[in-house]
Amino acid sequence: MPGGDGAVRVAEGVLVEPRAVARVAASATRGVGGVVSLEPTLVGLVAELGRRVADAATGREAADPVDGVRVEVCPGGHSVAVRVALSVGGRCAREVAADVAGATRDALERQLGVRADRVEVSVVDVALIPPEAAR
Amino acid sequence: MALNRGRLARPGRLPCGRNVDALWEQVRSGAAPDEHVSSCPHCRTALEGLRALDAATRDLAHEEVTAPPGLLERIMRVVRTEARRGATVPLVVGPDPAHVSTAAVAAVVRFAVDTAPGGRLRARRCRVQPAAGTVDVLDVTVEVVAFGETEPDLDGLRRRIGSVLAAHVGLRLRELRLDLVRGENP
Repeated sequence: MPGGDGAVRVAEGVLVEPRAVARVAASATRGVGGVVSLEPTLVGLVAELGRRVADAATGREAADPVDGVRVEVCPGGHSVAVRVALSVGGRCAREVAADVAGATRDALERQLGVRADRVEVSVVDVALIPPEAAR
Repeated sequence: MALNRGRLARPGRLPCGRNVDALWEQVRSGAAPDEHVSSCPHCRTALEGLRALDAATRDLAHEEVTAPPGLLERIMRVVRTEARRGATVPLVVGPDPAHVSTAAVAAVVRFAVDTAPGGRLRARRCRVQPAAGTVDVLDVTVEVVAFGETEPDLDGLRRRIGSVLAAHVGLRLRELRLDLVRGENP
């Protein structure tokens, strides 16, 4: 869920909305091996459902869900801080978290030209399989 | 709808003097337009817009509203994970920090105990605390219920908890306290 006000300025006259940043960050996160799902807060889920209803009412194509991702535009408006909440499984949570941060930074820079000052990953759940079954 | 309040001669009235509310009632009731309305360009334009509005509102009123598929499951999942957003343990420090919920780590510890070979152990209370001044090191206390007469292999259980934590979370144990309790029925 985008959390900051305003947009991030990537070039003279070019602004990127926090929601676009969140969509790219969410997509990059989902592409990392070991990520089971993004995990919204209750407030985030309600806000996301509200956006979907608004999209349906106005006939707009439903946007990709960004629940579990918060974006804040840093002071000065030239960079962002991203917070991602997720569940992991099948891989070590520490490695997955590091890969998510790297993938998010790369995707924001490559797809939007947005610089991330900070990517914070919060692992809220770990999907479990017995070690004997994993061998 | 081709209505513009700023262009009305008087509030609620068209330039020809007809009341918009009366036109709206006419549209809603389905009554045929009278002679003036049929020939007046203002009334005909307003009537066209009001008919479009009427059709749209009737469509919306009859539209069946269904919850998105999987909504209940999503809500239940959010409720479950919401409880795990409290205390956390640092996983990574630096410009891109990461942390994991202590509730999730405790679930991993309980899982390691509950799935121990033999099926005679069950984890109950589990407390997870980051070791002070460290990043990926934990102190864990877990109450283990042992069923049956056989003495449990506590050293093996310690190794198992350590390896499961390392594999699933990437955390190491500094101190692991096992409080053993005897149980009668698994």
